Amino acid sequence: MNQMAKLTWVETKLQFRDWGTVAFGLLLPSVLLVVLAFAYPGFRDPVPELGGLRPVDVYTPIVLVLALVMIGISAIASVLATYRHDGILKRLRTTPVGPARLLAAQLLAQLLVATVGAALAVVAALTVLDVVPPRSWLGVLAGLLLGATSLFGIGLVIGALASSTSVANAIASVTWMPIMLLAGLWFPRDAMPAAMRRVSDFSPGGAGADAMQQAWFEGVVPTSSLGVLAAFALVTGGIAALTFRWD
Amino acid sequence: MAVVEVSELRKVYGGRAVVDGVSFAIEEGEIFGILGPNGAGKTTTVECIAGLRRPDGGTVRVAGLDPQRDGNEVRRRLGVQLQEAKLQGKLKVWEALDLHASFHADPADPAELLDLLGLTDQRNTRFEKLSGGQKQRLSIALALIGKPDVAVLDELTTGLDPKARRDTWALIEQVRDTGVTILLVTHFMEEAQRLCDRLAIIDQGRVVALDSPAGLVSQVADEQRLRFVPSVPLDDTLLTDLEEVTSVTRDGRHVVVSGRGEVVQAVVSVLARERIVAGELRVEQQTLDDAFVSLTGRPLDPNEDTEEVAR
Repeated sequence: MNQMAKLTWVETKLQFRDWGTVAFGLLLPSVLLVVLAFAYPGFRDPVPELGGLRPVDVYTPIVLVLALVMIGISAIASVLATYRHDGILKRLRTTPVGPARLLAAQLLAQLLVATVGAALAVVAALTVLDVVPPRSWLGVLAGLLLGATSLFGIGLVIGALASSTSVANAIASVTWMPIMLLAGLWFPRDAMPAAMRRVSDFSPGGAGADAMQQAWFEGVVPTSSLGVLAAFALVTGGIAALTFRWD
Repeated sequence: MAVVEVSELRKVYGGRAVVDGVSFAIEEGEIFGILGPNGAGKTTTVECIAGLRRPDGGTVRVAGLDPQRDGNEVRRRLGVQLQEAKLQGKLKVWEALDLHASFHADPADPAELLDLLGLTDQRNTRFEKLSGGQKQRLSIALALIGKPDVAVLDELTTGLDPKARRDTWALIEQVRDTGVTILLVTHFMEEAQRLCDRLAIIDQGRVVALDSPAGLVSQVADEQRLRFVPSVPLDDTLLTDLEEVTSVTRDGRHVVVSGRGEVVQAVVSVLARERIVAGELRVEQQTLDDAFVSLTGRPLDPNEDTEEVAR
């Protein structure tokens, strides 16, 4: 096995040994979706304001964003801060492999967990909740991947700037809420006041939810939202690269 | 041939020279020690050798290579155990070795290393469950997995209990016997004295002495001290008249006699002639500690052990 594959494999195993965090990222989206659908009155009834869709339909892409946020912000920021604080990245600097590859392996492992979490939510939506299959799988996948890149970028920035794991966790926990608020987790984007809706359009959560909702139910690949996500990924990636310290 | 050559190394942080003109050369196959108090510039020196920091002045060569310019080659030749560098908590011992082995083209056999370091029983144990000594041994194993020419071990035994510390020392001697040159950074006098073929004493960013441990002691003085409780009151002049004796002092019931050359023989003969029995007789030789005090003007971390326990 080459080094990159081995590093990714090891980092993936390590994620799964931290079962609490992984279970949260893996299961929260699908569990939340199913619980909302069955506990909330009218969640499975068509609503005219949603163009005849049911709230649970509209929520499916939102919990996919939640899957990415849980992993991309909380898990990555925390792992990164720990790896730096504990000298794990520094130790790698003294080997022929270098810490950048460990970082890449860690991101790949997290992406894997987030993807599986999202996939579970999609399966739950399609099988248990009778959500119509996406009209554009490709568009949903594009939204998912670009959404992951931009949200992982935010996690990297937090991990780069935080001096310790607890600081990283604290910043992450105040960051994910506005992102999910703007993604429409507490009330749909269509119900937001105009100004808030505008902010939502340009936020990674809102743009991610919008991209996947449009691809899912209208079958279009929403270039503007994907553009917002790509821009976020570039900016956060750039900030992380400029501020990152190995030790 | 020197495998590591450091000459006139300087590293400045915030206008203060942390390393200020350090020079030494490490010969193949030796255990070379860098000894000094905390904050003396030991770790910074080592990090310049490992290529983790760019020197502000002077040169560093590892097997003739510049760690800044030929970083990859230097990283292949150096095995580094960094002070307080941990591993992922849930990483198992065998996984750590297996992973680090994959970083090298021709690694050592992980199973043999586990055996050498006495970690075979812990191969399936996670890093976070290892004892302090086991973590340090794993760290040494990782430093050795790439079959390095030089192993750099920084503050290897800090925080270990005395038994684990002694076990680690025995291990380092075993490693040296396999032909690996060792650069040992320490602030433990006993460790330096026991292990090092030669050592550089660094204080405030400078090398204040460089010699074998025995050489350093003899550089300072060939003075010896005797301490005893005389069976009857003793007239000091009996001893001060001896040409070998330089001073006679009292410390409670104890008489403390300092002198040079055959001072022990001379004092004992006088006491025998006067039929005085020397109770609780102790002969104290100069130690590396005394050498350190004499070279730097102060003791090396006098509260060391109490601090370690408090932590």
